[in-house]
Amino acid sequence: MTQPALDQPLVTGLSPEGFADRAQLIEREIQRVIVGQDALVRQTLICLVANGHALLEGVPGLGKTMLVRTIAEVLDCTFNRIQFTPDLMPADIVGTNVLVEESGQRVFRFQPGPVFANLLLADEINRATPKTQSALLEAMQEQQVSVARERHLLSPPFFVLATQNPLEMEGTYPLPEAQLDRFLFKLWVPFPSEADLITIVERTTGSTTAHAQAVADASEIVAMQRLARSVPIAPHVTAYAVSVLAATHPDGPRAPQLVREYVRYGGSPRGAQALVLAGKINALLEGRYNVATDDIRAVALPALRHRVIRNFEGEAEGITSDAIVRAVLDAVAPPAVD
Amino acid sequence: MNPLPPTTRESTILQLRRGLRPYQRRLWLRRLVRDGARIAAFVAAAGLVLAGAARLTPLGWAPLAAAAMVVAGLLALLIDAARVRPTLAETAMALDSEQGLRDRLASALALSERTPGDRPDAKSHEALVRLQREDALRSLAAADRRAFRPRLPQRALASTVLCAALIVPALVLPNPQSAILAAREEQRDAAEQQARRLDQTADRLGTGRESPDPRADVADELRRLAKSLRDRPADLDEHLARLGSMEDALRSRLEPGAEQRAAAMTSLARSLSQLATGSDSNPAGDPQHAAEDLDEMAEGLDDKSPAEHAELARRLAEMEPVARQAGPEARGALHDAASALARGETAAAREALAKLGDALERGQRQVDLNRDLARAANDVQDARRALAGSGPTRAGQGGQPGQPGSSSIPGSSAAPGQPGSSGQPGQPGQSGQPGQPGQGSQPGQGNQPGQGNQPGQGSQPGQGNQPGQGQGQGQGSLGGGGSNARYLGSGTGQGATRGPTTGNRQFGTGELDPVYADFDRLGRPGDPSYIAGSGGDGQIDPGSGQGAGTGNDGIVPYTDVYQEFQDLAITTLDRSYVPVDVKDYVRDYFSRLGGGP
Repeated sequence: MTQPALDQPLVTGLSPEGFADRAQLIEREIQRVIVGQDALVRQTLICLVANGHALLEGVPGLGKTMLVRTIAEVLDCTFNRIQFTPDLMPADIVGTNVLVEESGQRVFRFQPGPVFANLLLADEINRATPKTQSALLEAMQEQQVSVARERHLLSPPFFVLATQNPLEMEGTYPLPEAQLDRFLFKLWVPFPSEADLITIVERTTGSTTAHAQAVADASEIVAMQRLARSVPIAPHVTAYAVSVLAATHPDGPRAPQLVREYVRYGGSPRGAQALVLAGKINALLEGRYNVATDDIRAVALPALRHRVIRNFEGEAEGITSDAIVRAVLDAVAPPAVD
Repeated sequence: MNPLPPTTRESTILQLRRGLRPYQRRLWLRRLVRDGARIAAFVAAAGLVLAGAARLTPLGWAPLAAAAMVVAGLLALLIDAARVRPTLAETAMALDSEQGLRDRLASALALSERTPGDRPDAKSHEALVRLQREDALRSLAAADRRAFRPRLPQRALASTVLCAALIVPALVLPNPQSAILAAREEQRDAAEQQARRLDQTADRLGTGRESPDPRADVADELRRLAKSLRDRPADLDEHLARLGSMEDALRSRLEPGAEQRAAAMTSLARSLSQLATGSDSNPAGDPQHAAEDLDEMAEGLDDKSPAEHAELARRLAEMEPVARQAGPEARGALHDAASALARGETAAAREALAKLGDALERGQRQVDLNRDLARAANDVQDARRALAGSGPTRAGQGGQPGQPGSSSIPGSSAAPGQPGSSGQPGQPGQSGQPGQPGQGSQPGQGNQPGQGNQPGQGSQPGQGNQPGQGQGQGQGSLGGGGSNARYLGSGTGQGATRGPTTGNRQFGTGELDPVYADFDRLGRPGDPSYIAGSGGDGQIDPGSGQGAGTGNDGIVPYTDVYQEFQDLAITTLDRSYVPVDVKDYVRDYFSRLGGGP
């Protein structure tokens, strides 16, 4: 399995049409296992192609782990899963040097941890201590780990899917805002509809279980990532993305009343980057070569919901981040000419 | 998606721009229609407000403002047309939005103007840009050619229709303010007309004259008044006050006995010329002509005999009563000449006759000045009356107290005043004082009993077949108090008798009480029959007394009463407003009678 670097020029010759075809193939294959959740699958795929990471939040049993596992199967990538617990240590994630005996001599050898995989499922990430969380978050940001003064690069693509359970908050360590910002998307896993539930039950209670087949490999994912970054974006679309982000700040000139009242901090510049990059991929996935303001709006919710920090009043009033982002989108209309 | 065959970057950009041009024009038209409808709504709303305001308050400039609104609207539309002309980028963005092209056109157009630079993925970036342009061209070709249909903003359209629907009745229905505006316009016209009149009077007075000639000063003041009238026609009260003040000032300069003196001078001049030449060489009684005749007579004195001198002296002495009225200077010179001739002192007589000629000329100049000032005063008075009559209606003022009736002029044909149109009822005038006993010297000819309550003083025998009794119905047409009421006393003295005049008639109410008398109660100025009373209507006490005419059959020569009639006429001319030409008419009448039977 080839693993090209992202900072090299595009040599794969992947066309936008090929991108869309490949993406549709991946989605279709995932949907053979994951019933419903089309938007979740699409957003997860965007995250993967954007070379970002996703934080999935949903009640237990909605298929978060199954989704990641299926993606790993479809992409023919290495996959690891870490179940975060309070006693999990950083070394349990990134690996450690172990003393081994080679040729009669005892030497330290680095034993990679589960983080060394293309796809990593960090299950219930908020149950680990901040120290352990930060070890993973460093790997997510830097695409490398440092053990005993040695850096160990992670192989691209490196895609972390972390999960959180919003119900069981007792004994958890909520991720700090700075670490939440490292996730490209925060995805909300909805409860499936009754029709989807019927399908799920039928698929999982029979004698056979649906399995996905690998339709892409890591090199193709990297090629898709490069192509996505090459998509040009018009200045007015970039400006619109920036306007949306600026409106999440309570002191922003176009901030809606909801933001002014219930938001303590708005999105960071990473939010604008996420909007633009995800918008590019969304355009490609829809078969277009240009990024539209609609693409920005389509990805605004998962890209910004974890970057908007509510104040005490917002939390007390039960104002959700989604409501705030929607208010922002309502307030910042796309540039229109009449 | 199958990309189009490769084209050059410039050609695709040009195709894109060319393809957007028609949409650019259509978008421009849509904006113009939209903004035009809004401007029309605004103009209509403003017009409605203006029309409403014009019905509440007199706005003379309303039509101008309405026209200005329309012009401003058109101007705003023109400016807006230049302002809202869309760029190609705007057109692309609007077409993206209208046709749901997801920013294809706007992005392609924007990215066509940017170069990839030295970015590492420049090659793939440029390839994607090219693909974008081709995709945009395809989208443009598939776009609806009828995009950007003009759309009228419903709210603006409804506002325009509503305002227009309300404006129509506001314009069609009679506007109560129109009468006020018409009155103001009439006032302006009247002010302009009176200003012209004052200018004409000033020209007549001031031409060829300089200060200290009072006529030059009067002319300057008249011009200032005319200018003020033109500049501020609305200041009616001020102008009326100034005109009244000026009229008073002019009348105060008038010599009361000037006309009597002028008549005497005319008569004297005619008589002197007749004496000097032996014929009626100076029928007009020109003093200058008389002076020249006197000079000729003086030069021939030495050739005349003492008897002729005596005859001349006698004839001159006979003229002394007339000369007395012509002035002390003339009387003195005449007396000296007569005395010198009686003594046979021709040199002294020549000198006295020369002085007499000079006195006549100076007197004539004084008379001319007096007449000019009187005429100017009359013009000012006419202007004031015309101006007052043109003003807006206002409450009437109380009449002035009546003056004692003193007229003995037989009022025979005075025209009644014309009724006003919209004057407010005036306050009743104060009662006039009872008329003075009639002094008419004409014999009573009526057969009706006199009604005056004053005893008649007629001392001449009547001429009728009936016993001479006061038969006059003198109503004191020239007496009575002044009033500003529109209906003034008609002054229809019908008696023409020597019966006593009666007191002034009580100023009436009701239809007789409007305001702003138009001062033409006795006919129009210039009408020979126009003989104005000196005041308005006071209370009229109908005379109930009977004249005490005697019933003899005697005939009184008119020469016996000529002087008395003349005095009364001249006094009346001096005391009353009488048009100059009428004055001249009266004076000429008496002057011709004065020539003797």
